Parts: sequence; C-alpha cells; structure tokens
Amino acid sequence: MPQASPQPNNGVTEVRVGLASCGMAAGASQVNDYLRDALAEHNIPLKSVGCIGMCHAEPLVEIVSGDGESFMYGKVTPERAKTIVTEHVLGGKPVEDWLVMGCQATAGDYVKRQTRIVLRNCGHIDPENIDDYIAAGGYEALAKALAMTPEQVIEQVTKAGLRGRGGAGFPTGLKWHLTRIVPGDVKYVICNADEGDPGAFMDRSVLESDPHSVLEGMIIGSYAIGARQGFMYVRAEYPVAVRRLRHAIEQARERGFLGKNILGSGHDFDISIREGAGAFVCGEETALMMSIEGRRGMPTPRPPYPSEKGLWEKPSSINNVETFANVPYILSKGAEVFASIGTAKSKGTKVFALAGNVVKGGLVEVPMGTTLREIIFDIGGGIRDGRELKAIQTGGPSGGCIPASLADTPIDYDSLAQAGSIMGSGGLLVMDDRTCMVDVARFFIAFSVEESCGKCTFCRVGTRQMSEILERITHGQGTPEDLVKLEDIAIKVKQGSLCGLGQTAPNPVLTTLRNYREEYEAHVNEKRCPTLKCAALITYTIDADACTGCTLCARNCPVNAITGEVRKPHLIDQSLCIKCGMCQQVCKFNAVTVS
Amino acid sequence: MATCSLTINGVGIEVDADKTILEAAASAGIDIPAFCYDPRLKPFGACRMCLVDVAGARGPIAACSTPVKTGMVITTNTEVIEGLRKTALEFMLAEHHGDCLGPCQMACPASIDIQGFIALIANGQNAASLELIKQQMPFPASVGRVCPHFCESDCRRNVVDEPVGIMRLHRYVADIDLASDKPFVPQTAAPTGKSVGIIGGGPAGLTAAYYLGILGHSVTIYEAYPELGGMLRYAIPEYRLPKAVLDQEIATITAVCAEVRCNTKLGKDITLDELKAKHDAVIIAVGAGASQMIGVEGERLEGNYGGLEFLAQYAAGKGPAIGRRVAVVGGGNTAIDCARTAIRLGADEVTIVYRRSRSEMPANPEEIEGAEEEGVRFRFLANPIECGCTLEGGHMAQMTCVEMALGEPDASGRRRPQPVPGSEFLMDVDTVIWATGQTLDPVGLDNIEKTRWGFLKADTAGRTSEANVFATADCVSGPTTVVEAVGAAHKTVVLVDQYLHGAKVELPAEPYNHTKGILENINKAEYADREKIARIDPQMREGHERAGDFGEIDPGYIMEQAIAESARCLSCGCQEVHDCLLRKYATEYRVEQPPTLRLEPLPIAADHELVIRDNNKCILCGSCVRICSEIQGASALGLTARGFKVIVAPTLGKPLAESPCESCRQCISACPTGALTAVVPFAKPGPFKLTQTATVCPECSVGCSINAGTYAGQLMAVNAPLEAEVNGGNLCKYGALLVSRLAKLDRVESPMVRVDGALQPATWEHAMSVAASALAKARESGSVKDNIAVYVSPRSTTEETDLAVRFASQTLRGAATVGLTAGAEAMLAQAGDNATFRALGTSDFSLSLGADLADDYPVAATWVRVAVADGGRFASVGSRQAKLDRIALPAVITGQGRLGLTLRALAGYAAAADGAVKHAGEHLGAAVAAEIAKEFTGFDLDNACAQAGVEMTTLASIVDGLRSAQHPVIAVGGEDVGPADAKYVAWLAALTGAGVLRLTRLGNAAGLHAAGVGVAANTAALAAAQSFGSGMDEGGFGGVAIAATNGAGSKPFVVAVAPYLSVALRQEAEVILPGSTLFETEGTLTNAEGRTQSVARALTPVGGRDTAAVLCDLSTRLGHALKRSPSAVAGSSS
Repeated sequence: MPQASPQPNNGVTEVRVGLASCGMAAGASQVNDYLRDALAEHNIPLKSVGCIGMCHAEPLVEIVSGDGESFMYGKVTPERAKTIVTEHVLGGKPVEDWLVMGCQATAGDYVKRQTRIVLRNCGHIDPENIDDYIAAGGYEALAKALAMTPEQVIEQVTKAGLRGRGGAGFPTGLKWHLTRIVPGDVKYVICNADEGDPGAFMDRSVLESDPHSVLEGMIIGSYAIGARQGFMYVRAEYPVAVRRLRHAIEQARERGFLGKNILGSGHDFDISIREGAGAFVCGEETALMMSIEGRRGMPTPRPPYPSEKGLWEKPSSINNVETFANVPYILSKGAEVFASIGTAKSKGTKVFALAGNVVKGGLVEVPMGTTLREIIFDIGGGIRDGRELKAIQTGGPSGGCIPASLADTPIDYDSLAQAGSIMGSGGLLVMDDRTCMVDVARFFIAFSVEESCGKCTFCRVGTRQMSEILERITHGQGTPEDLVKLEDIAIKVKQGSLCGLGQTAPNPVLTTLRNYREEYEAHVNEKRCPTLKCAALITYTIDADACTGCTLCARNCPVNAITGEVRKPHLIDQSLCIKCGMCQQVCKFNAVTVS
Repeated sequence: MATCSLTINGVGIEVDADKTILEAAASAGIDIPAFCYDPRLKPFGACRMCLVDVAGARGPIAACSTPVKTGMVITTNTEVIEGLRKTALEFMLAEHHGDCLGPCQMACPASIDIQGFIALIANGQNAASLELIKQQMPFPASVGRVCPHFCESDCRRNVVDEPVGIMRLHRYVADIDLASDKPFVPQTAAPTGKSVGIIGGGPAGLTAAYYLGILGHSVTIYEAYPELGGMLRYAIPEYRLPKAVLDQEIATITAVCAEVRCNTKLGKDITLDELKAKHDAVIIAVGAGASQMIGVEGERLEGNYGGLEFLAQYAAGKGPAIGRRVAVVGGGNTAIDCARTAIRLGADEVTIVYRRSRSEMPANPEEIEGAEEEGVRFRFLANPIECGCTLEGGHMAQMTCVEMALGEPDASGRRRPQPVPGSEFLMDVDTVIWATGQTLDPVGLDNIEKTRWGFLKADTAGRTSEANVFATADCVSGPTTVVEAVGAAHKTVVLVDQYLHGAKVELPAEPYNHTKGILENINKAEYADREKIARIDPQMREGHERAGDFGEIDPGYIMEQAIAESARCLSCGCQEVHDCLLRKYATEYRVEQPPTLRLEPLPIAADHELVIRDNNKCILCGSCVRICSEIQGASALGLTARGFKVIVAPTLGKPLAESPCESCRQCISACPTGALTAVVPFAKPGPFKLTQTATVCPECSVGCSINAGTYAGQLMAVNAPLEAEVNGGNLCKYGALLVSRLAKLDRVESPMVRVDGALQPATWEHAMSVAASALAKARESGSVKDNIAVYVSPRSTTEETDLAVRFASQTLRGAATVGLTAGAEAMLAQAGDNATFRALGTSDFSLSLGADLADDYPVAATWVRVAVADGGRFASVGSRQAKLDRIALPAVITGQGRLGLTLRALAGYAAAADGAVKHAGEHLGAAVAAEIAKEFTGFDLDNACAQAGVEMTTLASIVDGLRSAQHPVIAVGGEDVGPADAKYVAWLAALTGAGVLRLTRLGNAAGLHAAGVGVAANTAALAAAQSFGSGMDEGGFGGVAIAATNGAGSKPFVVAVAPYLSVALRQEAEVILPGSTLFETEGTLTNAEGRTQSVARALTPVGGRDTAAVLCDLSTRLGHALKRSPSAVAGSSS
C-alpha cells in the first residue's frame, strides 16, 4: 500500500478501485494494475476496496478529494483510466461523461437512496486491512459487548428487533437466548455463508468487502451464547471471500479479537472456515451442520433444534452473514437506533441483489418497509428497454412471483409472505412483460430438482414430477389434468417436505399458477405461449416483403436452417429451426417475425 | 419417568414423556405408517409417511421424530394426512421398478404361485411343490395337460429366449404325486357343521368342493353325468388327458368331500328348492356345456353334431358315428379337439371350416399345429350357410359355404368377417360338427335370474337372486377355460365360507401388485445379461403315428428335464413380497401404479456373496446406511448423488464385497422393501411364506433371540425380533450365516456303522445294537472313569446336556463328561454379578477384556456403540488389536501371552483403593476378599505396570472410570483370558462394582458348566472325547460323542449322536446315530447374562428323532431307563 502523500495532488487524496469478484470479472484488475503504476509516479495513494454494489457500472473507480468529495467513475477501462488520471487526478477536472456519482451524475441516486448498515463499509475500506476496518469504528462494538454481561448483549439484540436475514426471519436475540440457556460447556456459533440462490450475491459481497464486520458479529454472538468455537461455512465457489476471510481471521487473531481471553475479557473464541462443495441444500441449517461434521449434507428433522442439539449434538446458534454484519452496528449505535429503522415487525434494513430486466442492477440495501416499486424504479431506474413490469421474484427458487399489481408491497417478512413470496436471502428478480411465467416456474423447479438432496420423498420425487409436467406444458403437450395435478403436487410437496428447500420449492409454481393462470391455460388449451418464449410453441418466419436478402440471418443461423440467395427473400426451414431467435436478433430490417 | 397426557384420534392417552408421537400412537394401538422408522435407529424423517396432524402446528408433523408434549391433540387420519400419504406412496412407486409377483402368477386365473412351485422343483422338493400348487389348483395333473397357459405367454423369459415350460413343470410334480403310494390329500379343518350342496362336478364344482372341504364344511356334489370331471372328462379327448389320470386326481378331491351323487340331474332328479332346504348353501357350477348352433338351415339333420355332444359321446364310450368326410365348424380348442378325435375315429378327410383366418383362431397354436401334423385340413375365411343341400340315401352329402372377408375390428379387437357376395361354394361332407359356441343348459334353473346373454346373474358377492344360492364360473361368465373356472370357483369358496360363518360376504381387496409392465414394454436391455438357455420340449410321437390311436400325445418331463427347465425361471417376483411395507401400505391406501419415472432401470448388484442390492426398489429410507454406520460401525453403504439420482451404494464406489461390510445383513433386516435381499443357499430363492419360530441363536454366549423362518422342512431365513431383550432386533454375521451353514451340512439321515473300515448305512436296530454292545463291553472292562468319556457339544441344550451327564454317570456308571474349553470353564467358575446386554447398551463406562467384541460377539459390540453414541465411555484391554479399539478410550494392547499381567495390575490398582477389598468381599465372600488382600499385600504397582508395559495413568483411567461410573460393565472373553487369570477379572469387577458379561464362542457354555460338564483332560478317554468332539463340533451344530478306550494309547471306540457328518466322524466314528440340530429340538440355553432362554423346534429332525430321544433309546438298550430332562424354566435369570 503506497504511503499517503503529504501533499495531495490537485486535492485528490485517494483513488479507490472496487476489487470484489464482480469488479474483477468486469476487468477491474487490469484497471487497478494500470492505476498502480500511473499513480505511483505521482505519489497518490491507490486503495483496493470491495464492492459498492453498482454491478451495472463495474469496474468502478472512485476519486476522493481532500474536501471529502467523491467522484465515482463507472465502466472504467485502462484507456479510460488513463484519461481520468490525466484530466481529473492531475488536471483537477472531472470527466463528467463517465461519472456515475458526484457532480450532476444522476446514477448516484442508486446509492443515495439506500440506507447502508450492512454495506456500511463496502466499497469504502480495504477488506484486507484490519486497520481500515478499525478506523471505520470496527471492533468498538465488540469491546462494548465484552463490557456487558452476555444477557445484556442478548437483550440489546432482542430489543433491536433483528431477525434472521437468511430468509426465515427468526428473531436473532431469541435464538441466542435459547442457545445460551441450554446447559453444556461446549457450544458453537456458526455463520452460514453458503449463499446458494441463483443470482444472489449479498453475502459474497459483504465477505469480500467487509469480512471483519461478520467476524465481529460472530465474536459478539459467541460471547452472548457462551461458545468457544465458531465455524464459518462458506461456499468453495467464493474463493475471493474465502481468501479474505482467512486473512481477516489471522489479522483478528493477531490483534487479540480472536483466541484466548479476547480483549482481556476472559472470553475465548476462535473461528474455523469450512468450505462447502456447492450443494444448495447445505444452506439449510441442519444439512449445513452435517456437512461441517464431515457427513453428507442432508437435513435432519427438527426438533431437536440446533439450539438444543446442533453441531455434534451440542447447542449451536447458526446465523447468516448479513445477520452477523448487523450485530456490530446494533451494539455500537444502540438497539433503539437500529429499531427506529424499518417497520413494526421487521427492523433495520435488507440487502437485495437486484437483477433481471431492470436498468440498474446490483446490490441495494434499503430500510424494511421500502416498497418493491421504490427499489425497482427509484433505485433500479425502472424496466429496461422501456418495457412494462410484469412480475417480481423474491427469494430465488424458494420464493414466489409477485405480480406487478402488487408492486407497492412493502418489503418486510410478513408483507412478502402475504403476497405469496418470501423475503428469502435477498434475491430480487425483475421480470418484464416478455417473460413467460410458465417458463419461469419451469426454470426454478428445474433448479430445485437438481439441488434436492434426495432424502425426503416429497422433495425428491415431487419436484421431479412438477418439472416433468412443466416441461410438458412448455412443450405444448400439457393437458388440463396436468394443471390440476401440478397444483395438487405443489401443495403436497409444500406440506410434506422435510426441510425448507422442499417446503418452498413449489412457491414459484403456486404463485405463477395463482397469478398467471391464463398463461398456463393458453399453453395447455391453445398450445400457445402468449409471450412467445416457449420454443416448442412458436414459429419464426421471414417476412418476404421486409427481407432485403442481406444474408445476415442465414450466416448467423447456428443450424443452417435459413436459405436464400443474395438480395432475395430468405426462408426458414421449420424442420431444422431450433427457435433460438438468433435470426430475429441479427435482422436489421425487422423482417423476422415470431408467432 | 415423567408422563404426558395427550389425545390421539380423539382418545386420551398417557405416555412416557420421552416417547415420540409414533411410539405413543403405537402404544395406543394406532398404526402410523413409516418406512424410515426403525426402533434401533435415530429418527431420520425421510419417507414422510408418518405425517400426522397436530392441532395448532403450522403444517403436518413427522410422528417418527417429534417428541410428545402434554396437551397435544393428534389426528393420524385426516383427509389431508391420508392424501399426503397416498401421494408419498405414489411418488415412491413412481421410482419403483420391479414385479411384486411374477408376471406368470399375475396372468394365472387360478393365481398359482408359479415362481414358488418352480423354485421348489429346482430345489428338489417336489412334494412341497405339489402342495403349494394345490393351495390354488386342485387338479394340476389334468390342468397341467390342457391349460392354455396364459402364464407362459407373459413369462419374462420371452424377452430372453422362450418361456419357461410352466405347464409341464406343473404337471410334472402332479404326476409324481399321483404315481406315489399316497397321493397328497390335504388336512381338513375341524368340521364346521355347515353343509354345502354343489351342483355340477366339473372343474368349478370340484374346485369349490375341494376348498370348502378343506375348510371343514360338509360338501355334497350333484353331477348329472355318470362320472365327475365335467369338461375335463367329456370335452377333452383321451389323447390329451388320459381318463386314468383324471380319475386318480378326482379321487384326491373327493377324499375331502362328504358325498358325491352322480347321474343326478338338476330339474330331473333333484330340484333347487330341495337343495336349498337341505344345505346351508348351494353353489351352482353347472358350466356352459350345451353346444350352441348357429342357425344354419339343416344343422339338425342326421350327421350333424354339436361339438361338445360329439366329444361327450366319444368320452362316454358311445362312439359317435361319423362319415368319411367331416367338417368341423369353428376355430376354438373344441373345434381342434373334435377334428383330432374325428381323425382318430377313422375319417378320411377332416376339415376345419373357420370364418376368420388362422391368426384369429382362438385355439392354442400348438393344438393347431398338432392337428395339422395329424392331417387335419383347414378352410379359412369360409362359413356354412346351408347343410345337407344334397342328401344321398337320406344322408347329408354337401354343405354350402360362403367365402368371408375381414372388415373392421369388432368389440373383441378381431376383424369382423363379412360374407363376400356371390362367393357361395359347395363342400362335400357327410358329417358336420358344430364347434361354434357353448351355452348354459337352463334346465332346473328357471327361478334364477339370467343375464341378457342367457347366463346366470350373480352379484359381486357371488350370490344369485335366490337366497343362499351362489353361482360360479362358466354358468355365470359364459364359456371359459378350466383354469379360469378354477379361479372363479376359488373366489366363490371365499365368499361362501364368509357366508357360512355369518361374516360380511365380500372379496378381500386385491393386494397392490407392482409390475414392470407388459411384455412388449419391457426394456430388452434389462435382460441382456441373462444367459440364453433353450426351452426343453419333450419329444412327441410323429403326427401320422399318433393320429391312429388315442394314446397320450405329450409324454411330459422326466426328472432331468424338469430340473433343467425349472432352472430357467428368472424368479421375477420380489423376494420380499410377503413382508414388503411398501406393498402393504400401497394396498391399504388403495394406490394404483403410477407411470414410472425410472425410464432406465438401474443394474441389480450382486456384488456380495450374501446380499443382492436392487436400487430399483429402494425408497431411500436410509435405514440400511444408518444401521450399517450407527449400529454396526461399518459404514459399508452410503448415499450418493443428488436429488432424483440419489442411490444407496457401497462406499467409494467399489463392490460391496470390497467395502468394510461385515456380512451381518442388518441392512437387509432394516430394508422395508425388496431393495436389499439375502442370497439364499438354494438353487432358487422362492419367495415362500415362511413359518416363524422364536428360538435362540446357538452361535455364541450372547444368546440372541432369533426367528427361524422355515418352509417345507428347510431353514430359509433367520431374523431378530425387534422386541428381543438380549439383542433388540440386532443380529450378526454368525447368525446371518446359520441358514447357509445349515443348508450346506452333510446331514446324517440314517444310522451308520463302520464295517471293515468304511462307514455303511444301517438300520436303527442294527446301529443301536452295535453301539450298545460296544459300550456295554467297555462298561464292564475296567475303570469306567478312565476308559469312557462323553463329549457334549456346547451347542446342545441344557436339557440334552443334563441327559448326557446322566447317561455318563448312570447308564455308563461313572463316565466323565467334557465340552468346555479351559478358559471358559475358569471364567464361569468365578463368582460375581452378571450384567445384561441391555446394561452394556446403557452403560456410562464399559470395559472389554480379552475380547474382540466386534469380531467375536458383534451384538455385544453393537450395544457398546449404542452406549458410546449416547455419551458413554468405552475402554478395551486385550492381547491383540480389536476392531472396537477405534472407539475405545483407552485401548490397551498387551501383546500375546501378556494379558494376564495387565489384568493383575488392574486388579491390584483397584484393590489399593480405600474400602475396595471390603466391598469386593461383600460380593465374593470373605474368603475371596482374604485372597485378594493376600495377593496384593506389598504389591508393587510401579513394577507391575512396568512388567505389563502399561502406563499407570492408563490403569488409573480405566479403574477410576469403572469406579466412578453409574453403570459400569465389564465384558470378558472366555477364550482369550487364560484360566489362571480369570480370577483377576472377577476381582476387578467386584472391587469396582462393575457387572460382568462372561462371553464365550460356545453357545451354551453356561448351561454346560451348570450341568457339571468339565474340561479336564486327565484321562485318555476324556482327551479322545474332547479332541474328537471338538472336531465334530467345528460345523457348530452340536451332538454327543462317546469315546470308549482300553486305557491310554488304545484307539477309542466312538459312538456319536450327530446331526451331520464331520471329518472327525468320517474318520473316527464306529457308530453314527442321526441327531438333531438346535433347530430340531426344544429346551433351553443359558447365555452370558445367566438368562435361561427357550429353544423351540422349528424343524423335524432329519433322522426322525432328536438327540435326546436317541440317547434315551441307547440308554434303554444299555439296561438303564433314562427319561428326558424336564425343561429348565425359561426366561428366568439365574
């Protein structure tokens, strides 16, 4: 890390590059390499930070001025970085065209409209530098907690109204209390970092951008319940997070935040990392514990609950990454401050991974009670390509599809449940009017089929049968009886499954059946996909009048189904066509129609 | 134990607070279905069958894993719950791929257990095979000749090559039975006092008579014809079914009937009203024996016959007159029978006229071919329209026919024949036989309501419009086959029996029968690995040769053919069909087989000599995986893959035989379906409905309760009852192997005497007299004590042992007895408190001394594992490494011959504690206390530890562990602890307050010891008896051997009462008298707990008498009357 220059150049005190997985995937490492060399010449400090959440604009480079003003550049390439260094860093003149935040850049609303508790340090501090975390107030909450009795700590968390952010919303204070009161010398604190919903990356970002906040939450939790050993169960598919966590744990040990007699309190606690092999079901707490024990990750019946008999049959408290990240905030700011945010029953904020047909996708953290519409339109900038909002899927494959008519639903545990979905861990998928809801249900069920652990009958066979029926329907082979059967199976799988995976897997089916039944009926009765998505039910044709014979479609067709002479109308051989839609995408004359 | 009060299905109950809902319901007599529940295992919650409704809960609750709470209101049978269970079953069955019953049995209208009877033929048990057939089919010799064998059409062997010759195999065992001195006649139940009148002595009437007679009802058959048999006699020609066979077979049926009245025609000789009044129930089984004409002009002219009428006339010896050119009209079996009879009666030309083509003919293809070979001609697609159009001398000369063409398929699926206009032609015939259908002869049945086709109307309970009158088979359904009539009549028997007992008259629900599907839908690849073996068909006589007489055409199988053909059976039906929980609940919840999700059947794994794994039948309850790891500690099986693809497979993807499998077959015992089945030591496995006999495993002194599953004189399976006190449903590799060990024994079936150095079979009389005179001579020849010794196998009952001891002392006047090993005797001689195996399972500190529990006493090891899983501690001290050392804290391995040093050090350490010796004295007596005190006076513990090579801290950890435990238990192995060191074990236990389990590999060592059987080899005779006896006992099924010598150095004269021939017997014994195994006798055994347990007779002794009977007989011949020993009181703990 370069030494900070005593004489800030043109007022620029620091340049930050977002180096979380998302940024790196977009090319931030190359930008970082360029800037390291370029800025070194001028003695301007360059800081690697985590993710600020503006995934739609990665890679991001932030220029911080001496007066505290911040300029955020989006979609930075090494070339653009060169210009930014020349004009802004050295020349003092922001390159306004590329700014996403600062000056007049409206994109800044994306962050400004959020309330950041969990993501408070993300994108601001260097996740690999414990001093950065400490400078931002890190580990103060731990010191404060260790000065209290464990019961007082639990009382604070209870008063704050913090509920589990993994999706089920169980009150964290109560969970800690229940674990504390079970007699026994050996207890465990477990952090569930097995984020498995497709499209969800809240936990990964926090672990990559601010690992100490999670560790601090765990240490406080261990003190509260009386545990001396903690486990961080994290997906092996998150190598950056694992690396940074390892590093953070070592640093925390060096500083005495982990280990024997933490901060002289007499409390001992240490954390081991366990890497999961990527089974979705291992996000289920009982399966996760089996996996830590080195056994096949399979849910076990509850009771007994982990608080009574958890890991190795010992009392265990298991919380999600985001839940732990909230804890230091509660302890340092006070339960009342936290409880003042959110709704009556859902306190604080929630982080969402906003994705789908939305203009600006990424990580957003909003107070509980914010409406879906506010998230999508005010933060996310509305629907892409000027389309209509059709549905919102929350909670990933476990959640339901909320129709656009319910877009004003406030996000909190109870309202989302009422709308037929769940809070889940924070996936928020926006779907526009071109989305086929039957296909959406098919997609999510296909995921559940793959990820079911296979242990219980309903989940193992029921998801598979739903999948087969949905395949039939989207292939135009469904019958009205299939719809009856589908709904019956969905209800029974929900009622009969052993764990949360099976109990929620039918949600996409049930909510789409409830809210979009006419689409199902069109597929079944008329063999028609109203949104023209289901390949088996649509036909691509070339309008001979509009076709100029440019041959572009024929050259792009992956199966050579299009023939025609230059400057003469082309023809699609329907027997060969795989309905990939490539011809329509490449046609410059709107000559390819789908029906 | 605190209790909870709760409500289940509206009934308030009180149960222990540590029970689950499932256990609570069971205690209230309410069955909650569950597949993954096993009382031996922790709740798993996978199958979801046990879901129940609990008031106030958010959703259905799994009863197997949810503990009861006071105030719970539980409902086990709501509509939602039952719907969920049904769906769960449908889900499991959608994954299921297999046949509950063989397709042959499914196709058989009489539901004969075809797979079973073929298996018995293959296993060489023809009599049992016949008896099994006769449970469903009263006349297999007859039907085995004439059946259309629907079974063979559906035989899965069709996929491989050709169907199994089921019909001939069926006939084969029946022919053997009829040819025997005493053809099989079943036992009949005690008379019920009810009488049944059966009208009609054909297949249906005979069937009804037979099975009602067996049930104890008094049956009278009324038959219009002079003899019984109906169609079998009067419609089936001699060349297919010789009357002699039929007569013999009918005799076995009438043997169970009260009365048979032939020449008694309904409506003429008797009336229905008379029978109604005379009998409690009447069954009309008159068949459909009247020929149906088709209404062609001239069909009643002379020279015309109804088909049945023609055949009956011939059968009755009133040879019908035929001309030279015969036409037989029709395409069924009757037409063929008429044509072939006409040929044999000497017609020049016989033509079958059939209105459809050959492929539509309903007759059996082999019958059609047979007729063709004998010269019968066929005129297809033709139909008579006028008969006798020219009369020659008053006789018919021609028949006008019209050609037919096949149009659209009709209701039967066959194409409807239509006349071709203008195609009339003439046939020169002088005789026409109309085999064009059969109908009911309604004489005497005026009051019975008819169907619109003219048959009798019967409701689903088999009853006609007249009270107490039932009707069955062809007179209700219209003409069918013999086997269908048998099936129909058998159903009527069930209904009539219910009626006679005043029960509700209804057919029991058909059990759920899963099937792989019809033959056409079977995936050929699934059977690709089956060896192709040509079907055996006996050589028939040439067509022209046989057409000249009425001799039987088909010679049937000879023995070699039958055995070879039976080996071709694929045994499709599931081995667990009688016990499968999946089938049981699928039946109960009336599930229909759902479309399969298993499009690619999984391979059936036979990768272990004792276990067959069929993942196609697995419901993933995980019980096998769990019992293997939790109870057996082997972890040989695991779950692999994810979601729908999950299967149970041996660890690391290797064959099961290469896994850590211990061959205990606990996995099979835990499997609720047929996914895991045992390999049986027989040519074919069955399955058979076994008779279970509760007895005790003789293998070691754990004395596990077992159920011996027997069938037809064979031990077929050994299981452990879940409620067993000693083993709690667990069984080990030794128990699991009993079946094959017993099956492989070279049994002594008759007495044998050595003549000129070679053993020769002898009569009982001769063998006994040789033995008695030799022993009598020895008895007189000097010191009996030194010269004669009796070896008693430790696998003998306490009563046999006692008898043998009395035989030695009284009959032989002072002979000694041997049977124990020195270690076992020394161990058993020590006093002390016995522990129980249950106590071992709940012990907070258990110690194994000198035993590899997991290898030698696996069920004891199971209890140790259970205790350790519940938080108990286990330690082990032995001379060599033991399997259970893995979970031992600490595990001390002393090295060969050095165990005693450590035992002494342990006892010495324990004796040093304050008050320990005094405490020991209270248990073992003052004398022992003094002995302990003396032994350890000035005991140098440091030196003792150094000598033993054990750390003092290790000793301390073990002794303190025992002393501070609430329930300390020591399990000691009698074979490993030397005679000199046995006392240290007893001392250690008494000094620390531990209970002791004295284990030995000799099943009834404690019983032998109590009876005074010793080990001391201080005479030549004893040494000879001991060495000979243990050689004899190496197969593990006991016996008694008497060795008589002339003193040291002389070759002993050995008389053995032995159940099987061992090497020692073959080489040494002078006289061998067949004895019994523990499955063939009764009495008691005493286990390591000191528990006296009953052994029950599950099988008849092969030699006809058990060991005790033989000894008593021998004793009498030696001039001393010995009585059997009275049974020791069972179940008590001494």
